[in-house]
Amino acid sequence: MIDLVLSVIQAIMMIALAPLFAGILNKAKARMQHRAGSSIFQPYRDVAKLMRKSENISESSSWLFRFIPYVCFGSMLLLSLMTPFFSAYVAAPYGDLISMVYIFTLYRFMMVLGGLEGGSVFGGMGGSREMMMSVLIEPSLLLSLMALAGLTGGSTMIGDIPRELIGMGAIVLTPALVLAASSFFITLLAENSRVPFDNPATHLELTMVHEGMLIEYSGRGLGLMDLSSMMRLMIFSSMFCTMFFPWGIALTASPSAVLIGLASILIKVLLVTLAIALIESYLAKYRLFRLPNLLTASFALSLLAMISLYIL
Amino acid sequence: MYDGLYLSLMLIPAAVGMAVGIIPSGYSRRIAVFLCGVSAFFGVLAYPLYIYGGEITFTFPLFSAWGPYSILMDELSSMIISISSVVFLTVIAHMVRSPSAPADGRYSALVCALFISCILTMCADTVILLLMAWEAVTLSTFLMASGRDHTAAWKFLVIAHIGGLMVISGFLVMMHYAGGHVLSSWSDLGVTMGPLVSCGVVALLFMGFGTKLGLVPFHAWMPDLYASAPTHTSALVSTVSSNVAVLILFKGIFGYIGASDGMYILAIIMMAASSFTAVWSALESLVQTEPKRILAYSSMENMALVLLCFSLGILFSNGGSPGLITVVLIAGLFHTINHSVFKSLMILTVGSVEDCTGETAMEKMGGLAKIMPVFSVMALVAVLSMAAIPPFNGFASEWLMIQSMMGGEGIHVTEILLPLGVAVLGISGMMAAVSYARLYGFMFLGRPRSEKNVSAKVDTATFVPMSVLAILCLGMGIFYSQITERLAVGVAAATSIPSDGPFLDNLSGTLNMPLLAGILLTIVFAVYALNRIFRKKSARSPTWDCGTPLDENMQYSSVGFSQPLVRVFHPLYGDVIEALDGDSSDKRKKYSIRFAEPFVEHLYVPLGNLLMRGAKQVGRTQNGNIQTYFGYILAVLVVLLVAVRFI
Repeated sequence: MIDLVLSVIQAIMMIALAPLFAGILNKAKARMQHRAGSSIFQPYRDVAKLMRKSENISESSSWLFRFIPYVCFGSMLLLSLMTPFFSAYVAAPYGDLISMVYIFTLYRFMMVLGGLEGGSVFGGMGGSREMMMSVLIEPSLLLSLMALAGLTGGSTMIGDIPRELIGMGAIVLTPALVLAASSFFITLLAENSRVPFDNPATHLELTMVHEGMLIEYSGRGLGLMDLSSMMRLMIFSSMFCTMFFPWGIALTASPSAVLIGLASILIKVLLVTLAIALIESYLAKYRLFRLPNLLTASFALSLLAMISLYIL
Repeated sequence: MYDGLYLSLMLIPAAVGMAVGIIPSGYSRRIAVFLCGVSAFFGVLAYPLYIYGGEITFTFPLFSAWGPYSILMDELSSMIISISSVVFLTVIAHMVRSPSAPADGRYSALVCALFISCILTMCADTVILLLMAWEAVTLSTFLMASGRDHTAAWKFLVIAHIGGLMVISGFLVMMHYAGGHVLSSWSDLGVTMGPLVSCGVVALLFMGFGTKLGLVPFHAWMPDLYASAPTHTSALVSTVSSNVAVLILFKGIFGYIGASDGMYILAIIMMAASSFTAVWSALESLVQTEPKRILAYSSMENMALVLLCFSLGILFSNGGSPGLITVVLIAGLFHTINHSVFKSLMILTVGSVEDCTGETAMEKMGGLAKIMPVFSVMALVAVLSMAAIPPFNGFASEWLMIQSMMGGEGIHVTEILLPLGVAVLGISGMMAAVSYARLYGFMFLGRPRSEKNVSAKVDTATFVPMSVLAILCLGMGIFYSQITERLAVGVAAATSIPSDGPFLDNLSGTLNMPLLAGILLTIVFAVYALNRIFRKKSARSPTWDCGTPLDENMQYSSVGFSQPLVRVFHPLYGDVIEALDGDSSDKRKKYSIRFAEPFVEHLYVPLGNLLMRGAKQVGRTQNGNIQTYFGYILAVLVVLLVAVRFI
């Protein structure tokens, strides 16, 4: 019962905080570029405004187009129920790490189909590039999570992983964990369409990947898609912070542990956000055909993580 | 006691249908199809009857020099017979109302023949019946496939017979060592055969059945056959005969021979071959421009994953726990039956779309979801299952595969290979998902790419068999743990691997699919309902066109869609052999390209040329002059006499 309550609270917190961290990211980037930037609460206002507006849908799109935002948002909600945030309690005997990876695939698959709806060139182009990246991302995401599961004794239960890692003490700082974590971080950037993979701020037609797929959405559909992509960043950051570096997470349900867990996760996610902002400010977007180099590096790192697990 | 009755109910209608179909009459086709449907209906009952009454045995009152013809339906075969019959029944039901199905009664007779031969192969208990039925499967497929393009069917026949040769030799070697021809009495032949011979036999079976499953380089027939054969032939070949091949391969390796630790080098080679096939076919499927060719490569990819599971099963017997071996084998078998369900659904959908639009190229389709909404829902279910998206059945079996690879930790030598297995699964799975997104997106979404309207009317009666398959796709995914439990019993009964419950139970504890699916659906519909309650106005307007009115070709093409990936993996693709014209009146417009299949170009064509040259050399000796032939006879006599003298 405590699992259920805590995981629902965590999911609600993640939904509520996702736009805030997106706002912080934008603000930090603006400050690094010596701009004042918009308020950190701007994403809330954007989403709220989009939700209030009426939709304008392409004549050429089918029933699926209207359905996709719900599926995307629904899959992100499901994942936020499965991801540990401030406590290791997740109501997750219904899903494990592998199903998390495949739910991300569901999200991406649906988004690409949404891009192809309406027959817009930008949608097709965005979808095509997204798919190229995902072919190279998916295996490394799978392998880095597998390395994590292997490190903690082969269980793919989400709730067990932070617990096991903390229980292992300092020995856990093996090459496997570091390699898997670095691979996962590259995956995080690629999955969330961040620089150097994609520029989330661009609306320049020929460089769009993620934005290209959303080009036909408007009003509430766009609001839901935007909110889901913020949630995706939040889920990835909290996966990074609770599964690869779980220290501080609440292992019991006592108020003090929960408070420490809450403080630590907020600080960790803030650090990840600032790191992303730093990368985005100091790195230009890569040319599309240079991306496979970085993605194969991520793949190699995760494969090495997995192999080092067995050799060392 | 009722075994004979049941079997005659299952086999006799189809046999009568076979005879009726040959009669040239207007009614013969309908009667033959109906009789085949009756047979398939009784085929569906095989597993329920097994549960109720135990094994079904029967011996035909016929004798041959190589023993009697007898039948034994055990747990596993009855299960796969049931699933295959469901697929058969739905394909037949679809065929009745499909305008493109050959109107010839003989085609229906062949469907009956395929049904009988598939069933007999799956439940044969003697070597002679098994081999004959397997040959009949090949022959009836060949005859059913002779559609638009005869060369594809001949390619199939040649390659399938090379495979058939390997299967026959494998079974004859096993029969020699077993000393009997009753299959159910064979077990642990590996002990008597020794490691070397058993490796040889396993390799023969693997390659022999691999020809039917599309193992590289024996896959050359597959894309051509799928593209040219009638839809229902492709649907049955890719599902039912794959089921048959996988079942017999499974029984051959793990039931009759039994995996032992001496085989691990062979297992590594098998693993490499099947991984290569999986990645190769996923790559090739990305550049195909005809939906049916994509489906052919997709079948290859799925079957390669099944073969990967079997090779891991052998590998795990070198120190793995029985539970682990069972799980990896279950994953393979489960994926096979899942594949037969979702692939038949997809092929039927593609076939219906081709019937309605009269097009076979993806570049001419597009925007069909608005015209055929029901088909687009069916196709979406099939595509999601194929792409292993939860909560559909493709996900359940791939999940089980990854889990079993995770479980191999700590096994000597093997464990190093397992991350590579996971990587293969990830890469090929994701590439396949891309090609399914492309398949669905360019068929059903976007704007129509050709001016032609949908000509034929959609027959709503075909929705019934398709929705049965769609429901199965979802149901088999959600209730995967019940199915895997039954499969575990079947695997334990068919092999000498002791069943190990806890391993599977632990796994089921980590993924509660009904709950997962329930939560996902509840969330999606809750969001939808909220949106409906607080609904806003929505307007319809043209797609954003930057100010230029868009014509049908001003949208992303399916060839362009896969270009980034083709660029990344370009050394692996062949040359562009053909630029297909969009419109014959305007030669400048080229919308589509086709890549050469490198294996055909660099393996089959040179091999064919070599054979032709050799044949020409042999041909020189045959000059038709009688004196020369006397000379040959004389030479042979001299050689023989000398040989006899010295031996």
